Formats: sequence, structure tokens, C-alpha cells
Amino acid sequence: MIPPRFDYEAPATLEEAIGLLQRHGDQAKVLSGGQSLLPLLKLRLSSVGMLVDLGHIPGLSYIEEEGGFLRIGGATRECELERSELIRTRYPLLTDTTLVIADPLVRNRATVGGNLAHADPANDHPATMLALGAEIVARGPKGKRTIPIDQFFRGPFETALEPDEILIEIRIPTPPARSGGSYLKLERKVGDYATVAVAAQVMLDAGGSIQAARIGLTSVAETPVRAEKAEAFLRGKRTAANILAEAGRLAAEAASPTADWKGSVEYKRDMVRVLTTRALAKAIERAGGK
Amino acid sequence: MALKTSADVCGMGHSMKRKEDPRFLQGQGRYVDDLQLPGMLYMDIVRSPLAHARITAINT
Amino acid sequence: MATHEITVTVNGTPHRAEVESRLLLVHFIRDELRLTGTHIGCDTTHCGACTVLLDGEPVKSCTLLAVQADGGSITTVEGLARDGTLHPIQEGFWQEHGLQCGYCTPGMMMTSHALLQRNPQPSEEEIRRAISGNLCRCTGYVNIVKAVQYAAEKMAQPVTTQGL
Repeated sequence: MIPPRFDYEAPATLEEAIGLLQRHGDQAKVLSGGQSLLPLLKLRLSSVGMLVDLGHIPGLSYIEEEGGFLRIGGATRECELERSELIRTRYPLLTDTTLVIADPLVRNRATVGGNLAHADPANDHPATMLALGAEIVARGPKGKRTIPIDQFFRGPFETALEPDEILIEIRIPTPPARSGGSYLKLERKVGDYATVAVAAQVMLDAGGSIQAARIGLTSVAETPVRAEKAEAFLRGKRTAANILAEAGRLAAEAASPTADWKGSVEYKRDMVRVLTTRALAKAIERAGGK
Repeated sequence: MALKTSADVCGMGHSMKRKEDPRFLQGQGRYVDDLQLPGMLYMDIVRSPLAHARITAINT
Repeated sequence: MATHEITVTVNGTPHRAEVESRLLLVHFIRDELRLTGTHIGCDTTHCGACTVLLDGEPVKSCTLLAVQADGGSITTVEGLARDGTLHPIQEGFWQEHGLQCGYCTPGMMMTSHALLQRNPQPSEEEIRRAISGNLCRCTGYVNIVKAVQYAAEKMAQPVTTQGL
């Protein structure tokens, strides 16, 4: 219940924060919302030498559309995502996702950047960002760089961020017209990590067929996974029930879950199948299709 | 059938507010963790991360 | 630095203290300030018995460091009643039998209080969603929902007609 001892700094600027990360190397860890890191420290599953709190740095929390992208500041709290009318109307996949992250109290502190940078394979935003084709903007001693989401997740709790880099922004290309998305999460009760979850984003063509689809899977591997065979299969197809069912089957094959108290491998795979079919149907409906 | 009891007498058949609630509602419950006794010590359990090993140090 | 001087306003009173970096906010509230109405019910950030308001927002104080609250304003269950008069939320929980053992109750009330500030006329669904981070092992939640509805109705009335 009591974390091991650590030093703590709450720098006033990003430069100071990066300096601290450089100075303390692998002894330093960024504190954003703390809703994943503090529980780990309390259970002593993790220890840290220097905790660098981003909480006093201005300008890291925003939700705005600019130049064809939705830009979300890394320190934006989940509750702000939840309350954003812009996101609810134009990026409902994100609203779906934030609403099933932990519970409302945790969401008052947890941040979008933290959810991504922590890279727990059971976290929800990673699959959604895969489905949205997002980019991660990181800032380090050498300046800013942009990391495509497909290259961001390297392993469980491991991302492409260098130890002295801070995730400062998530950029999501604004989907074109006739686009829709949906996130469906199977959990036993509110606050659980996903047994499995599926993020689907589709774009329809003028005739109502699927022009493109991106499907991200949560909790089925060491990183979030794109169901690429399902995506390829859907391209150019009509939105018939048997098509969506086949896509669900292909998505299930892309999943390699481990058996645990939440379910067997077979069960989890089958739930990927079911949720994919349902998420695609919802995404298509939101895209204005049938 | 008319009730022979009222909220003031016997109380049966009537919703009664509990006597202990005002304490709990104002954070004045006296749960075990709230107690402070003179000379009290605290115990926290430090578990070995290994099932079978020689203890060389215990860090808290 | 492994210790820090922090200033936190709690229920309207500023407190200055020197704390270890690792001191959890809930321990600061319970052990340093001796406000034991905020409870610890789990090890895993699930139960919400530790819920307090930080700058008006309900948070799990077991998953915050005291140093993170530096400069902030905290409201605990002890700050709900005014001069011995129960807050409508407290009245609601009493009237509607919204508590049995009372352990989850402070957390439930702080979350409900914040809900009603933001949404004075919540639906049952909205109440249930808002308290979904607070676990109760006794009541089955039904009377807790009724308690919040009671408070919402009470707080919607003009002040002069509120109870004695």
C-alpha cells in the first residue's frame, strides 16, 4: 500500500522535465495522471528513483482540430475527452473508448498520453489509436518528432519513446465524410481491464460499400494488434451481414490471447469475433451506411 | 386495518431512521483503522518475491 | 528531494506540512490531519472509499500523492455539514437508508456531491454511472441511488422551504 521511497520534482516547463529525465536516466519516470503508475508503486511491482510530475506544466492539455487533424495534448484528462462535444460528434470512437476506461473517478485524473505511454496491453486507447491511424508527437532533448502509431507499441509496457522523451500530443487525421467508428469492450464489471476489446473505424464510398477499414484489438497480445486480414477482406465489400461475420472470423485469427481468470484462449478469440462484427456494424451505421 | 403503532410508539410498520447514522455520515465512525492508542505500532507485511530462497536483505 | 513542504486547503482551512514524496494523499488526510472519515478499502484503486474532492472534482485519494495536491483545495466528508446542519446529501443517505456499515458512505457522498454540482437533476442511469467508481458491499446500491435522488430534489427547492 505504501510505495517505496522516491524523489519527486514538479518542473514548471517541459524543458526542465526533459532535463530531469536526461539527468536521471532509467531511474526517472514521468508522472502524468498516475492512475497506472501509482498503483504499480503501491503494490511495489515497480520502483522509481525520480518521479517527474508533468502536472504543473502548462499547455499540455487541449482538444482542437487544426489542419486536417484532431490534436489532443498528452496531459488531457479522460474526463475532458468524455465531456468534449467536438469529440462526441466528430470522433465518437474516442468517446466510446474513454467511457470504458476504468471508472469516472479514475478518469478525473488519468490522461490520454499516459494511457498510451504506459502501453499496458490491456489499455484501451492503443487499439483505438491504431484504428484511427494516429500519430504520436514526442519531445526530447533533440526536439520534437512524430511517431506513426503502427510503430509506437513495441511490447508490453514498452513504446518507441526514448527514456528522455515525453509524449506531448496525439494527432488523429480527421476522418473524411461517410466515416464512422465504434469501440466495444468486454469486461465483467465497470473498472475492469478488457477481457477483449475491439476498435473499428470504417470509411464508406459513395455507393455505401466499405472503402477502407481499420480494426484494433485490445488485450489479445503483448501489444495492441491490427486485424490486417480482416481489414483487407473488407475493402470494397458491401456491408452485408455475412461480410461482417467473415471479418469477425478473420479478426479472431489475428488475436493471440493468453488464458487467464477472464477466459480461455478459445473464449477470448470468439469474443473478438463477436465484438468485431458488432463494432463494424455500429461503425457502419455511424458512417451513414446500412 | 388501522395500525396500532406509530412512528413514536414501538415503530413497527414505520420507516425508522437509524440512530448511528449521523456519526457515519459526518465521518465520525470509529473503524479499527481510525483508532489511535498510546504506544501503537504499525505493521506492514513485506513479502518475499521468491518462493524458496535465502534472505540476504530486507528493504522497506 | 525526498521530502517536500506542501500547502493544502482542506475543508476551507489551509494546512502546511513537510511530507515524504511517497506519502499518499489519503494517508496525509487520515494520519497527518486526523480526518479519518475518508476510508481505505482496498489496495488496487477499485473501491472508492477514499474519494475526496480535489479542486471540486471527485478523485481517489489513495491514487494521488500528497505532493500532487500542493496548492490545491480538498473537501472531505467532514466538510459537508455546516455548523452541525447536515448537507442534503447526508440527509438523503439518512432518510433513505443509503448506508449500513457506513464504510463506503463518505466516498459515495463526495462523488454524489460532485455529481449534483455538475448535474443537479441526474437520471437514475446518470447517478449509477457517476457512482460506478464507488463500491458498496452492503446495500446493493438501490437506496444509495434513492439517497442521491432525495438530495437532488431537496437541493432544487428554494432555501426558505428546506427542512428544519
